[in-house]
Amino acid sequence: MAEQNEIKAEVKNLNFYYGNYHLLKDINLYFKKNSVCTLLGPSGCGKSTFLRTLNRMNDYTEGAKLTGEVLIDGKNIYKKSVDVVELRRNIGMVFQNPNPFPKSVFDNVAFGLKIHGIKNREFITERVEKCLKYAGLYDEVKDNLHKPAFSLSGGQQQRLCIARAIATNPSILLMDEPTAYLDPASASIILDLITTFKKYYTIIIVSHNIQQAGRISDYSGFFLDGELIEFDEAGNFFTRPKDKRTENFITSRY
Amino acid sequence: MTELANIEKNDGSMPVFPVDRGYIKRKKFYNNIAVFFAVTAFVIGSFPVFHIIYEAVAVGHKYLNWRFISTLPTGFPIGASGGILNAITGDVYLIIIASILAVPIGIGTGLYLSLFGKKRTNSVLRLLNELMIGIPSVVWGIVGFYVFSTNAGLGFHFGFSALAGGFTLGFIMTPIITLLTEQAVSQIPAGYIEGALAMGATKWQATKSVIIKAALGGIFTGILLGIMNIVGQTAPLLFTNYYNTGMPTGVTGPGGAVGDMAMLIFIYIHEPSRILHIKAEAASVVLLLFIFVLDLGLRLISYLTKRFLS
Repeated sequence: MAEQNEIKAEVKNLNFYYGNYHLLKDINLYFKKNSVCTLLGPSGCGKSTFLRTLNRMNDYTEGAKLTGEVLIDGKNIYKKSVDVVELRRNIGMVFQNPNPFPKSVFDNVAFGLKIHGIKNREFITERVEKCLKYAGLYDEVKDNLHKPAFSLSGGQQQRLCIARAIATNPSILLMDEPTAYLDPASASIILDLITTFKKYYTIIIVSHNIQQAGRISDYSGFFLDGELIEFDEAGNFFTRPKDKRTENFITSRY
Repeated sequence: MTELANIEKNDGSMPVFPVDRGYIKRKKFYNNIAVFFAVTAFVIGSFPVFHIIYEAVAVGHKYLNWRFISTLPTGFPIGASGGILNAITGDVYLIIIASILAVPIGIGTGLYLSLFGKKRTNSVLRLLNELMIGIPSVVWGIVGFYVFSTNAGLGFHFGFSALAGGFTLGFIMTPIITLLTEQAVSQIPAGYIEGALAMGATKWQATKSVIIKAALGGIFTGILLGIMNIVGQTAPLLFTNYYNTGMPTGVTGPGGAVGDMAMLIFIYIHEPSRILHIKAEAASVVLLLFIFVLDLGLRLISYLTKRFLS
């Protein structure tokens, strides 16, 4: 697969400050197209902050400052000319807590289409169904599409959020510990989804669950205190880590 | 408790859990004291409400009929016969005019404070808003007189009228709606807003389709509290509207003035006439019922808007 080797996104000399606090220190890494990359690290190491720099969600954080470049398809997303709305349409995000909107199941998925100006009712219906099918949720909710999203279980809500994130047809999916609050069965369904989603998206996941990360990753990075300690193909990363600190982490000594 | 006891018996290696019987008794006693204080506070706090309702109904009950709320006051002194229709319609006018000013500005400011503004400016604005709530209503009356009734301020020159009175009451209502809106929005889980923004929604799209709906209950409470506050106001109206024993005959000037329940009670209770005193009591019962109906109405609107927005 020639496509596998294309670089989808690249981060160069990224530094992130929050007030006087140097949160991310000189991060350099790349994400290959149609691969799954997991970013591991203990709590508070800056991996979630890093993930949020990739779709500029930190823009609204007061006192935040960023230097360096984030290139997506070769273009620096922190250039003034970049349209944040268009950027985020292209980058789906799934959060740690399932956070469906207080709307019906259908409207949750349709939301992404509506905010980008799509009004064609038939197109929306078709697309909502398709996204729910991709997220493996359609069979469970097809009779209750107009019930509130909160009536679903936690695992179903998280899959609804995934369906919502892919509705705008993004090319990158960011996931911030998507299975952290789910029971093992629901988590397993989502991990399977991620593996099949590789075909369509470049997936970047933040996680602190080493077993889960090992199961799905193509590439893995290890963050500690705002530094990227190691970044490698998953095979090497999990079996022959170069850095002692990485080894300590994946053998659970943190 | 029993399980733990069994473990302690069966396994000698477990340290025995010390049970302080005296403490268990004492903590139940403290609990009872706390409950007692809460109940006493409730009884003392709600006594005036029940007393007012009882007194007003006991004295004014003979005027509590359809005629009382559907006819204008007549006779001498004015009000000796007839009803209080002037005050009821006047209150409706005042509430509508005040809401036209206060609802959009109050909600807008509240949304700005909780979503758009910078932290430091916001804390100053929030303080100013709280100060606005604390300004005595008589001061608002003088401000309203200057701005709306006379030619001196912005040149409105509404005279003594429902317009001047309503807008002045709107000033009183605005900061209450702002406060409640801001609180309602800040209680919305951050995930809603982030989720919408991460999909490429603008802040306004996120506000319109997710936030307002989730905050609607709080916003309506703010509007309701604002209205309840202004229907009880007399001081601002002394300077901007005063009172009209009939229906308004114009938009501005003396003809634009309307009756008002609180002013009616205030004026009737000052008249040396037993009939008017009784009518003032009856009017306060009507005022309470009016607020009650308003409360139910706004709840219904809130419920319907929620369904409509989903």
